Amino acid sequence: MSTVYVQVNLPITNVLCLDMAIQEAGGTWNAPEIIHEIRRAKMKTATAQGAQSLISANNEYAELLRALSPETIPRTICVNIEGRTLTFIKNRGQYSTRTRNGTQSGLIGAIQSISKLYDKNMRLIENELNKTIQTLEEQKDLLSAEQVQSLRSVIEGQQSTIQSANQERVDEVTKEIEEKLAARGFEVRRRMVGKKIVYQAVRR
Amino acid sequence: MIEVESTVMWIGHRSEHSAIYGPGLRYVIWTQGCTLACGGCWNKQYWPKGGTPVAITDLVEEIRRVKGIEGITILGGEPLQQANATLKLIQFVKATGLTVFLYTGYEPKEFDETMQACFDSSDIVVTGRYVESQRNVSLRWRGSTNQVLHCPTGRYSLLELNEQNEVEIVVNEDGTIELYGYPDSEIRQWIENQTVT
Repeated sequence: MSTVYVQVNLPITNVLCLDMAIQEAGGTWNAPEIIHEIRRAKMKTATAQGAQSLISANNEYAELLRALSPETIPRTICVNIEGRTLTFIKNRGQYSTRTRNGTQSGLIGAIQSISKLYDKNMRLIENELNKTIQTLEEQKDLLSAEQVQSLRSVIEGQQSTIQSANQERVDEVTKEIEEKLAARGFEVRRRMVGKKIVYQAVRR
Repeated sequence: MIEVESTVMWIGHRSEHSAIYGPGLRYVIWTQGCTLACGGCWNKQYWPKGGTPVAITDLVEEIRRVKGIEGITILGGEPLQQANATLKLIQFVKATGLTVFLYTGYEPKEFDETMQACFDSSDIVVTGRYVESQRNVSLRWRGSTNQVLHCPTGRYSLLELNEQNEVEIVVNEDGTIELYGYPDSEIRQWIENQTVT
């Protein structure tokens, strides 16, 4: 008799979205200290009173976002949800684990709901980013140079969390593609089309 | 003058620069809608009617703006189930000097007049259903051995055809992957396991 396992995945293009999604789904995880610091700094930006206090909160938030590189995210995480602890391993730009099929449908449902919440939070963060850019555009003549700079830093920080995670994922995926195609006897040509990488593989 | 206004093509997907669906770099259009329902078809998402309606005028403008392509390739879905739109697209694209590669699951004996006109004005055509039991990934530009390559206009010659297995993998900016061509089952499985976020 064999046991069938299913693979479940958690997206991590933006680990802050994953953090928010796990919390919203009623779960917890062993988030690294920087995630806790970012949560606190973000809270400060929302509650800061007065221009100087807001500048300081924004600068702190931006600095932490910039420090959130893929290297600061652990390769293995433990997620507690539905009374179970699942260990996920970072692989190909996402966290993956395997669990027995059939017996844990509630658990799998909870993981799937994290993925859905993740998508919602990604849209939320994108909206937040666009709103910050818009605020900067609309108010740049009214704000002090210091205020403008602090808002720009937040924007750059938010963009860098997405870009660095994307770059890591692209690096992992392209390396694996090149190895797989070469091992299967393909001649591979790599070209760039805009920001996309295109592999043309031919086997005679 | 070619009448292209008011004709709409229902499209499932487009790729601006592909090198594996015909000679040179090509603008590739997957039409939406196919009732042939070949067993083992890899493009089942293009079976239902729907997709994006695109005016042929807009489509040809878009194609004209793409630099460095040798021609277009139309596949699907089933392009000849939108034969009027397909014919207008082919005529207009040919008038710009680009070449046309057409895929159809129909056999020539099944063609009506418009379908035949699509065939006659295309530079390369692959005809015939995809037959899973005859799947052969070492063929160039075809998925199963029963499918036939034609060069109706003489612009290309079958003598230039070297059979080979071709796969195209696109890695997007966010690390998501698109797979085109004729991958073997292991590569296909591996790509399918790359959950797209």
